[in-house]
Order: sequence, then structure tokens, then C-alpha cells
Amino acid sequence: MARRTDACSTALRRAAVLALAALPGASGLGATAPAPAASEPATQQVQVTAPLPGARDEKTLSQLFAAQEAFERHHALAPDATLGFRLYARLDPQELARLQLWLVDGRERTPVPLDSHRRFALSPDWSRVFADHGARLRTNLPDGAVAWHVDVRSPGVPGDRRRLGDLRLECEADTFHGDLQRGLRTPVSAILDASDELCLGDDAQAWFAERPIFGVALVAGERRRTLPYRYLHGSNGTMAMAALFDWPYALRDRTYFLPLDDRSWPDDTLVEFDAMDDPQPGPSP
Amino acid sequence: MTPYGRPKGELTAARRASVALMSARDLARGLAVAAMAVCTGCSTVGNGRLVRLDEPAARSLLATGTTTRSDVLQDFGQGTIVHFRSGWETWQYQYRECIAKGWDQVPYIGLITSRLARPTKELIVLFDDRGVVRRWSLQQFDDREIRPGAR
Repeated sequence: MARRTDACSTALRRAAVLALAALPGASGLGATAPAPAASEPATQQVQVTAPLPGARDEKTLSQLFAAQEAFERHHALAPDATLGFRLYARLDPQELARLQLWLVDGRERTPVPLDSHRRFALSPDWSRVFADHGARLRTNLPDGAVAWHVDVRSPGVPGDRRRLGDLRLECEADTFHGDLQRGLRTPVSAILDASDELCLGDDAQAWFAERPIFGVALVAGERRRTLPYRYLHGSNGTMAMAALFDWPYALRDRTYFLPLDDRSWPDDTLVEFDAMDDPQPGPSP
Repeated sequence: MTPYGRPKGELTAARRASVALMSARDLARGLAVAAMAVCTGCSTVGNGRLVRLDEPAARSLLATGTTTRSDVLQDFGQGTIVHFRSGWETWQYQYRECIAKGWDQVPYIGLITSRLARPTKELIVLFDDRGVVRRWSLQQFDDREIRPGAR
């Protein structure tokens, strides 16, 4: 058995020498390298290289606490709502299957459970002390692969609809507070935020529906308004400016904006979605 | 020498004020011309058929599951396309009163023009990854209906 191993090792060494000789410039190296003395024991060096893992997509715990503070400050928009956070696959939906999240505090790493919609809530165990130490919520996906979103849900809203006040509150909690959306924060935005007017702009925040959408409507009692197409899919020149927004191409068919500047719609307004795979409606009466 | 017969640097204070005023006038004239360019005519994406299109006509031209991209191209011209990762895409046709074509897409200027309250009609056609019509929508609206504050 030992002899067989020696024979294999010798054969491998020969193959390695032959492979090196076949490399361009290898003969030159061989000519200049000092030949090992006959009595010197043969040594084998094995070098294993692997790419270092790149930066992972993450947010600081401080950001999430900042979102929570803004959520509490604007809680009147959705008095019964709870605060959560949701992760979307920003570039490749296939990556959701392997998405994991941890709280990383120094060298300690604690898994954070996600529900079936990849949502999680702030744990009561997470303290400001952790945040001040630089604790982070870190995914296992590369930086840029995940879109983070504040997720505010009032009870009693059907799963295929959203309550406008919840969405307004999401905007307030995220923009310039949780700061979870990617993209530039322009000086104009900072000024509007300082006067609490940022979330009165119709392009302050992008939202993602559960399914690819073909239409979005606001419904408040008898009042109903189907939004123009510029509110969908980042189709408008302004809203499509990728640098200003979290631009998840994989989510483009689910992306919508809202006329946040129109305060005539009450917070209890429902946002309804017309899915791409819904049947074509019949003739208007 | 200046056009006024004096060596450069010897303009009187009054002349300097006059030149500054002329520059301001030129600037104002330029802005007026730009504003006229924005507000001249109407903005139409497509071949203009949308202007007179009503729902029954749209229904006869756009049969879901049958009508293809080339049919739509022939009937309405080229719309503004939005592609999706799934291979599906939308074609958007729009008619807006008073906004010359293309201004909404110009960075920064589009921030203003796209917010001007004007009667607008739009047709959106959704194609699947085989290039067949799956959905369409035709609607007319006035931005003031969306944003009362824009009045």
C-alpha cells in the first residue's frame, strides 16, 4: 500500500513537472532555478487559493432603531400597525431560496428567523448597547443583492391589498431615518425631510407588490382612482432615474409609486392591484 | 474696442448697467422661447391613432392571446417600451395636451413638465414573452384628478 502511494506521488510529481514545462516561460524559469542537489530530499509545496468572500448585504442595527423611532413618531398614520422589515431579492429572485440573516455583534453571530415573506421584526433582546457597538443585520448574499424595506401592516387588511396609511408610514420610517433604500440622498431631499415634507412627494418611495402588476388603484369608499402608468414599473423619466432610487430590476414588474402629495386620500384608503396575469376586464358599462 | 466705440474697460457705469439689463433681457427672452417650445403643440407617443381611439375600437384591435407585437406596431406605431426580467414588456402610448414630445424624459426639465396638470390619454399594452398581447388598458385623466394641489 505504501509503495503504491509512493508510486502515485512520484507520478503526480512528474505530471506537475511536465505541466510546468508546458507553461509559457517555464523553460526559462527552469534554466535559472538552481538544480536541487541529489542528496536533498524532494519537497512538495501545495498552495491553495480561494477568493475572499466579498462584502455581504447588511444594515446596521442603528438604522433599524432609527426606523423604529420614526415609526413611533408617525404612528398616527397607522395606529394599530406593527413594524417589521422585509428583504427582497434585488437582482436575482432565485437567490431568495438561500437567503439567511444574522445579527452580527463582534464575533458573535445569531440567526434571525425570517417568515415566508422574508420578514422579520426587531427582537426585544436587541438593545441599544448592541447598536452602539456596531451590531449589524447581515445576510449571506453579496452586497447589492438585497432590497431592504420597512414593512408596516395594520390588522384586517386583505393580503392582496395595502392600506395607504401603512405605506405612508413606511416612507416616513425609511427615508432619512432607517435609510434602508439604496440611492442618493439629495440636498433637496434633506431639506424636505427636515421640514417633514419628504413623504409628500410622489417619488419619495418605491413599493413592491406581491405579484407582477398591470395596474394600481386607490379606493376610499365610493371614490376610486386608477393611477396613470407613470406610477408603475419606474416607467416615468423621473422615477426611473436609477441613481435616486433603490432600483431592483428583478422587481421592476412589481414596482409602484403613489401620489403621496395628494393628502385628500385618507389613511384608510386601500391600494388595490391589478395583476399582470389577471384576465382582461370586459367592456365598461 | 467695444461695439460702442470706446476702448474695453472704459464703459460708463450707465452703459455697464445697460449692458447688464440687455443680458437680463436676453436671458428672459431665451427662457420665454424655451417655455414656448415646451408648450407648443401636443405630445404624442405612437402614430397618433390614440387621439381618436375609444374602448370599443381598442377592443377590436387588441385581442388578448392573439394580437402580436407586429400587429400593434402596425396599428399604433412604436410605443415606449418597458422590459421585464420575465421577458414580458409593456408598450406605452400617450397623448398629452400642450407638452412637446420628449420633454418629460429630459433630466431635471422632466421633473417640471411631468408634473404640469394637462389632460392626458394613455394606452398601455402588455405583451408576454412570446410577443402576444396579454392585457391592455385605455384611460383618460387630468392630472388635477390625481393631484388636487396641482390646480
